[in-house]
Amino acid sequence: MPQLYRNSSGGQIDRADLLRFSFDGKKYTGYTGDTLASALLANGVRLVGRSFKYHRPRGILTAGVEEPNALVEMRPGPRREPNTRATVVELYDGLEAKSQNRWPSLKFDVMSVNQMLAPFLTAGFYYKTFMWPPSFWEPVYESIIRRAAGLGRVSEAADPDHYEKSNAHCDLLVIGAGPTGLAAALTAARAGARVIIADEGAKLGGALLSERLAVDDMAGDAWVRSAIEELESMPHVRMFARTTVFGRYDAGTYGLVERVADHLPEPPPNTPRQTLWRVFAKRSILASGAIERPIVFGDNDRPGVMLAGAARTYANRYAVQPGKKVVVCGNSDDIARTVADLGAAGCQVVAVVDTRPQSNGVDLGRPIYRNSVVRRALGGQYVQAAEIGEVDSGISTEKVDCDAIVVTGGWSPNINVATHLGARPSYDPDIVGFTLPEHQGEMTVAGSAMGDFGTMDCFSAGERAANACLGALGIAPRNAPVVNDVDEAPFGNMQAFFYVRNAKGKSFVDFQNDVIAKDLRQAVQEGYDSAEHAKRYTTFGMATDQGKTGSLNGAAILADAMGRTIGEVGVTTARPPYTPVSLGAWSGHAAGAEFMPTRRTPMHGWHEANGAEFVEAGLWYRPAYYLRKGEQTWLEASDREVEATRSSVGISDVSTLGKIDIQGPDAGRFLNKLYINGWTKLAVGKARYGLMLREDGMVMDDGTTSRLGEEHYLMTTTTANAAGVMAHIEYCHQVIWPEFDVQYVSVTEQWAQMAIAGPRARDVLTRVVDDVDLSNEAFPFMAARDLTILGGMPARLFRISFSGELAYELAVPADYGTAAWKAVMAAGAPYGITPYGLEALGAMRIEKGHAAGQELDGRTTADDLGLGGMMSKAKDFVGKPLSQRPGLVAEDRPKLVGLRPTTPGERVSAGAHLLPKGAEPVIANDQGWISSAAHSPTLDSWIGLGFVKNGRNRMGERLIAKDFVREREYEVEIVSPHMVDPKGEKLHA
Amino acid sequence: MPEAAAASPTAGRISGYAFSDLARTSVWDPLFEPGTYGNRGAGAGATIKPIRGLSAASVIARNPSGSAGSRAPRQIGGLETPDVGRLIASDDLRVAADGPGRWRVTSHDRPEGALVRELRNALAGEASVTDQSHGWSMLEISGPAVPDILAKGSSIDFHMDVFGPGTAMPTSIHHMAVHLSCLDDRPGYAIQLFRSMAGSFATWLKDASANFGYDVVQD
Repeated sequence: MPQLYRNSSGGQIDRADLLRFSFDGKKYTGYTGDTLASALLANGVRLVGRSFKYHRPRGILTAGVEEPNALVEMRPGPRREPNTRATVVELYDGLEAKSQNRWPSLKFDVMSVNQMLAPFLTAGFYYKTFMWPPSFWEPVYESIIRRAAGLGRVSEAADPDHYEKSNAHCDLLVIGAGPTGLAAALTAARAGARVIIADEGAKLGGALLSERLAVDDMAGDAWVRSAIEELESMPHVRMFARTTVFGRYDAGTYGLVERVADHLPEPPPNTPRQTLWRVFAKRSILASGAIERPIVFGDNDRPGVMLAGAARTYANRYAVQPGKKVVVCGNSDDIARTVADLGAAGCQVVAVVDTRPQSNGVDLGRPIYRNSVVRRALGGQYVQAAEIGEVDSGISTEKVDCDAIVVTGGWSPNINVATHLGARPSYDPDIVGFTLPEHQGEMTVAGSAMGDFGTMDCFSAGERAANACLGALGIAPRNAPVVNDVDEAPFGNMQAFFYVRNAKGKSFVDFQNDVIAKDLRQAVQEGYDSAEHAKRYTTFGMATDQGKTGSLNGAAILADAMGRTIGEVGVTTARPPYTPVSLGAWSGHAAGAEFMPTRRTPMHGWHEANGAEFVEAGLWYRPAYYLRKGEQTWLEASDREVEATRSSVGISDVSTLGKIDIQGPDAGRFLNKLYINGWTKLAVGKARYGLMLREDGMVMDDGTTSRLGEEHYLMTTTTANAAGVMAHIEYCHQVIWPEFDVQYVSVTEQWAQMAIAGPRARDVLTRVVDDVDLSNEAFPFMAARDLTILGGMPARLFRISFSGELAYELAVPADYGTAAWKAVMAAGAPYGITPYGLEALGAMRIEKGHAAGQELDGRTTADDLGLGGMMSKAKDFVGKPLSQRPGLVAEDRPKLVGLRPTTPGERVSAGAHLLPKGAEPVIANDQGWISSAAHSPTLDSWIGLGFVKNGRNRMGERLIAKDFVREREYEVEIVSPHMVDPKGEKLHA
Repeated sequence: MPEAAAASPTAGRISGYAFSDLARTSVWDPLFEPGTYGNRGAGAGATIKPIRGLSAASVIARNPSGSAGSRAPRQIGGLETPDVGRLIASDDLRVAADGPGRWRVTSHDRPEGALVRELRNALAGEASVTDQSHGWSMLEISGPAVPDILAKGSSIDFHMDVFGPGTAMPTSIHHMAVHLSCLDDRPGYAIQLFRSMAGSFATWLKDASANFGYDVVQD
């Protein structure tokens, strides 16, 4: 299909590079340098989408990120991306795009019947209509509304591309690379400042690429090229095209998203699709320019209605005619430059409509309607004529046939990013727009973002702002001007004119959310008489474009309806992101298996190779059980592992437990403060179980600590609390007892540690250790010492037990972990040594009544756990005073007990609540809960640990366990938590 | 109980597991294979050198008067103790600050336990020394693209004027705790991290380096 609206010369497109693309399956061509929007217009495609609520036909309103209408679905397959603005999509060969929000086709959309229902679909429609009954809210109403009103569809397939995050630092961040930004960057860079300049466009240059003007006798785009060359030559400058500064955060931190490969069919190898940048800037200059506003008139959303600046951009930059017969309507001298540019591009301007009584006297050579405005666009799926009438006359007097209405209502400073930290813009009648004070903390607002709309003014403003920043940075400025002279058409002389009164048809203020002038007036009538309330009631400004084109027009209409001034009404502030940022960019590398860093023990590879199924414990991966051939379930594996350990010997990887090396003359005194029990009398070569409290008197953590030397201890913590205990130790030393001469450092990672448990544990270890007598007399329960194994490997051996068996923990430096593990496996082979995982370990500790994370849940006291007797009366320790509070020593507190089902084979479930038999399951009757549950092959029964009010005095009582989650109920009997080998005979064997 | 376990095991020690025959493994071995990877432009953007057989120790000053670092050792391993944020190196030893009154000492090619023994003897009464040779995995990375690679996981300003040779500090890279030192202006860096995270770190580093191209070399 030929490009009927493309001129044969001019523009910044490469006609030698023909690109093929498709829209809604139809094939078209364009050129390198095109956007999807410019290429569609070149092919005469005007209808590109359907609106959100009324499904009205929509075209292309703008040429930039503010586009509210031309939202398309990009790419097929898993890369499909909805709500992409055709005005910023760079064309590439093979591009596939589709319109959205229509069925069955863009031209014939069934849901456009909503237009007929418009009288009912006014502001607050959902709130008023879908109220009753409440039970319908989620299942019925929400699904209906979502289906009817959704914009685009996500692909639902995994994103095949990868994304990155990165950081950058600079003296000066320049946001926007139009005349203001480039002047600022050049000024600061020439003075030696580290500069980052970012622009959302495919090329730096901003309006210099769109307007016909001369900068120091060079065409705008030629001057831009020379500026870029100079900036590129300076190593302290980083330039980012295709990069949006989407958010301003505290203390000079900015969020940027760089679309590294969005302009390509797919990213090249090892290249991210997008990169999310966090920039730390000492100073910044907001040179984000201004956004043109439409005039609100009847059916102003018809495809073919376009902003004047956009029309000039399409004509000048892309050599595309926005229409063949064009009506130009506006309220400033921009009319003249628009007429000139369109004329130069070969469009026929059939009428000029100026809201001002007096134009500037330029003879435009065609009919001029002064003191007039386009009151309504006529036509169905595209503009066919314009109705024109005098301002405030209330009637249309002329009808002019045309295929495009190009409109300018003036320019609003684009201060979106500057308001992210809460700055409130105020109305400036001189420029007819909302502005902010020039200096916003480390940010300086400059150029048309401050209301300086002339190109030369922008160059000067950029220089001025940069010099002010250099002063603040202590860098000497170099005062040669960046630009001396700009030759451009007249601009300005703007009249404050926003909307047509009593227009026929629908007058859109917020195109993307289908908010019309009547909605805003109705909101005021219904009492929403503040900009923020009216916004939320009507959804005005709440679409993905954040109402960039409509905010001032909306404020003017609200002001009129409220009888206030625009300044009194104000505008709503913006929040990041300035334009939508894809979730992939936010996650960066942290996706899929790399969602979080993982921690692996030194023996991880062995576990993997030997059938381990892993379970996450914080970031750690721990073997849960080792499935053997013929085993179907984790329970079979766990039961086998328990039985093998209890009957012979098992081995388990316990490297993940926290290990803290504590040294110094005051180490023992320090431990006395940290733990509830005493430490100074612990002999060298012995370990002791310790329990520590938080300051509020609740249990914090437990573990064994060994005395390796006179001034040297090794503390162990639970896996989950290792980092928390370390922080607690730092706090206690630095804040409470800084006078203690004690040093501590984590050695969790230095040691690979394995538990060897079971009646044959000693036999196994005897074959491994070097010349150490492991007999019960020589190496009794709680012995701990440095030794060597396997003829010289450094190691530590502790006779401690979590399983209740004769057990040891053997530690070796991590790089020897697998070798030592294999050696122990070999030494244990004659005894059938069995590796066991966390499930078996859990079952064995529950059989023994040992508390673990489920019991140390931050709500239990030492006495609740049956460990109150450990609390030393002879010394002070962290948590002691508050542990004596009445509520913490109350008789009826839930105490740790064992629980067994009264029906053989009944499964015990953690989380169930305990109730008296026959009692209603309400909180007043609650007797406690089940904290841990396991199958005990030793007892051939499911068992549990739990907390029961005054439980230690209620042995033998029967309660009902009510499991609300699994919807089960069963009877349990309260028993001692020490369900296996209660006297500890095996332990001391 | 398996039948074998009931029988008396072969008397004495197991065979085939003499420590003298056991080579120390490295956590890096399965993670980095020497070679050339990623995009190639003018050359490798980075050269990654995983360090095998590291000797490392934490040295923490005693504080008899109660304020940390008040009687800090003046020398560690023959080197002046560096201030917070600094690294001092000789041919076979590096001493890097790890916070007030704390240092990380690293060395290559020393026998198992030798570094800690040396330091304990030299610093008795002045500092507590703890072996970290197996817990702190280390790699070195150098090349023109390294600041850009590290910036993907760290918010440090890697400009040579800010984080130049001799700078060292504990920080984090891609949410993993590391100790980072700038060794020279190639620029070259040493990165130490907890052994358990070596796999996640290697995945991140390879991913972050690929678009610049990188070589993996052996130490």
